Amino acid sequence: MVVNSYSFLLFFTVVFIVYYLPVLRRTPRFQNAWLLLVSYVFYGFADWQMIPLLLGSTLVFWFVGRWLRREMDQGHRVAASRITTLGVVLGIGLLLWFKYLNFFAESLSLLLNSIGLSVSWTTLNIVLPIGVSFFTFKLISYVIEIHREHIMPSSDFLEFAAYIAFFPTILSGPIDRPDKFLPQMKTVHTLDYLLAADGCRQILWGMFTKMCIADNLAIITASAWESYESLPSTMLLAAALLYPVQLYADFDGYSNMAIGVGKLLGYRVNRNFDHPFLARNMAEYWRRWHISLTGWITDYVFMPLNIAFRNLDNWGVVMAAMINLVLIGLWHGANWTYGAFGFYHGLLFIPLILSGAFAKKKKLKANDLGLPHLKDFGWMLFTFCLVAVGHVIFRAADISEAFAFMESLCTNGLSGASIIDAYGMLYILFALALIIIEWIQRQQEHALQLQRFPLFSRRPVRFALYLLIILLIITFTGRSQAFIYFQF
Amino acid sequence: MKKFLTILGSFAVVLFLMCAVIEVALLFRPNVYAYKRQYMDEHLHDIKILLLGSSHIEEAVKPELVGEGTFNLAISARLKEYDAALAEMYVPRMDSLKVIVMAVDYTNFFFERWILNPASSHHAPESLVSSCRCMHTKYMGTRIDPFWYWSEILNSRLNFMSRFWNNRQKLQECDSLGYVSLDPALRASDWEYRALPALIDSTKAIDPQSYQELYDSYAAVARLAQPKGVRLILVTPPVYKTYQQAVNPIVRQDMHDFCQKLHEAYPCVEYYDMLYEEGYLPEDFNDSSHLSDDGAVKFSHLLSEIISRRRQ
Repeated sequence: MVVNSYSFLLFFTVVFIVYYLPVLRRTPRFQNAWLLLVSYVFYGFADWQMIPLLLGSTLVFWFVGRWLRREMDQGHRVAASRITTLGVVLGIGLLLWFKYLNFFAESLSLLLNSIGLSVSWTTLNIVLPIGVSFFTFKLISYVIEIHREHIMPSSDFLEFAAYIAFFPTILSGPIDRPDKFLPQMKTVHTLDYLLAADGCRQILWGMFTKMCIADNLAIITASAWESYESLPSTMLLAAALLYPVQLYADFDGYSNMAIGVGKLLGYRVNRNFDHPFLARNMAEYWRRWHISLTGWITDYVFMPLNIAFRNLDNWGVVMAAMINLVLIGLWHGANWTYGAFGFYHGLLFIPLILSGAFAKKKKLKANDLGLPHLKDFGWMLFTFCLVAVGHVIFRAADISEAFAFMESLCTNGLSGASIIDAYGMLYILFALALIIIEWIQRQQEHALQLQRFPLFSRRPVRFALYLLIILLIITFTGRSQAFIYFQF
Repeated sequence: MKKFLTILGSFAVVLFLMCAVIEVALLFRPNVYAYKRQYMDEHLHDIKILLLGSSHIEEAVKPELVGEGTFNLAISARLKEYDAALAEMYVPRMDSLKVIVMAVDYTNFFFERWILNPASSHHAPESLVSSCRCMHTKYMGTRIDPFWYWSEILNSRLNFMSRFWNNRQKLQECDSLGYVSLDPALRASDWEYRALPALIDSTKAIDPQSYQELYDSYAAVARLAQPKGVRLILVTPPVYKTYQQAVNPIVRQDMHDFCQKLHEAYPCVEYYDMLYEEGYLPEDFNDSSHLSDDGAVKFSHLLSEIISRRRQ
């Protein structure tokens, strides 16, 4: 049951109506219990066999959180640290077991075989639970935040379980942090009109980017990757430049829908993107791309490593950033392409760190014409190209395919078959329009926050715009593609 | 809550009205389904040879080359049950009818055994079931579903909005006898890899339900043809070598067995498998399984020979 489907509309209508019934608004516990129930139903639709895993890990971490707090209250600092470590190991162990065990075993076996040691390893038939990368990160951050005394452990299991399984975000994020989310579960939610209306607009925008842009660009990029050996360089270049936009439209589309659904239930879910294609260097790009993941890894991996390597000055920061980015890459899946993707981005951080540009946060300003300054625009374009190269590695099935694609891109020549027809051109125009809208709405959370335009202060005009977007979705909706980040 | 629901409700009403206006406006725009129905209604008693099927017939047979009184009622992406429904609507009333030609498509014989073909340019075939159901119900008057109305705006995936900015000739799609000519200038660069069939998982058994459904559709047409002395000619049109390479001999044998079974039950049924027919050049194809205009000329002559052979 994906968010942009009729079945979800029906499901959510029931969830929404019951959620705001007066009987459930008596106490937060009732609303949390309802949220928990529907979240498990939603997760069950995606992968019912993994419900025991989700429930079991939630129970374990709830007990670990309470145990940790008890030890902290009694002043047992060493024991508290050990319990925290246990929590982190359990969370990472869960990820390693389900996501990486076969990969590391196969890689080790290959390595040993390559140096003459014959090793035969039978890989286990482990099924990857959907959403595991997202909910384990929530579980781990819960324990760490208790240890850092940023939150108190949740005394109510219903509340904690509903936070972990919160259905709009369980499959593909954003990864909500307990210090921001759990306090929201302690109050009764009555419908906040402004928040709910904004949520509806955000869902609509998410549907447009996913269904009209991502799904249609997917056809072009898939065609290019299927026959890159024979296609001309121009087509491969177009595909390489379109893939980051496709990925963004897909994932940001999902995130907007998830955040919008959260808002309809009265929750403010973490933001996941902040107009990443307006970044002028790679550090800024990562501050704008998949914010909930990069923020998580920065807080729990980069910052401790940065402190640990502080004696090495700038090279310590380089090492911390490199480890950070390789981990971000590998988080996406058990494939060396993801590791290489992270390593590539790590390399791009080195000149930024050594030049001191890494930590600088320069505000993006428009010139008198409302356009970006030429210098900024040049850096945005350059950064986008660097990102596109990284996504070639990300998109490839293996490292050799990434190199083969790049080689074809450089050597196939300019003439040959086209994979972009008249509709393809239209979808490329949609992609360009998306980037222009990103610039215009760079101060807003999403494109349909139009309060600053006097024209849109009138409801009929806003309605007309929403109808136009719906009409575009109905007319140009692409062949339905699974959300790319579901696989992670 | 009240304000939110009121505004959401009023927006939903406006949205519904917009969709309703588009839906009604579409009724007044020409389309191939409406044209073919109109032709059938007007020439019901003159048609001698009726062509049924999907794009493999619609774009492959030029009626004027097959013989006088031929009409191509085939339409792209049509399911076999709709062929049967149309035959039930028209055949009993067709006084001059001598021959019904129906396609036997290789892709109809997967019976839940198919797997993705990595060589295909477009992996997951888009399901046009809802489009087929919607357009046949609205414009051809077939009533094989319990629902009497299928919204075009929600169900059709055939670029329906372009009907507002295209002219009548383009919207009719076919010529006056129902043939759709494919423009060779618009042939895709990777045409050899387009419209390839899926592969077959030979470990899987045929799904008996889908087999029976297909059999029932053909049998329904045969039951109408037999008492009237009408020949039911089943044909599998030629395909390009890339398609031939993907053909599974097990499935091909299933096709032959299926047609033999039909012939034994209904002697009016004849089957001609031209999947590997020789004499077709690359320019005779628009993609791996659809003929170009040149190919359609060749195939129409061949079909004409088959029809006249038995007549003599």
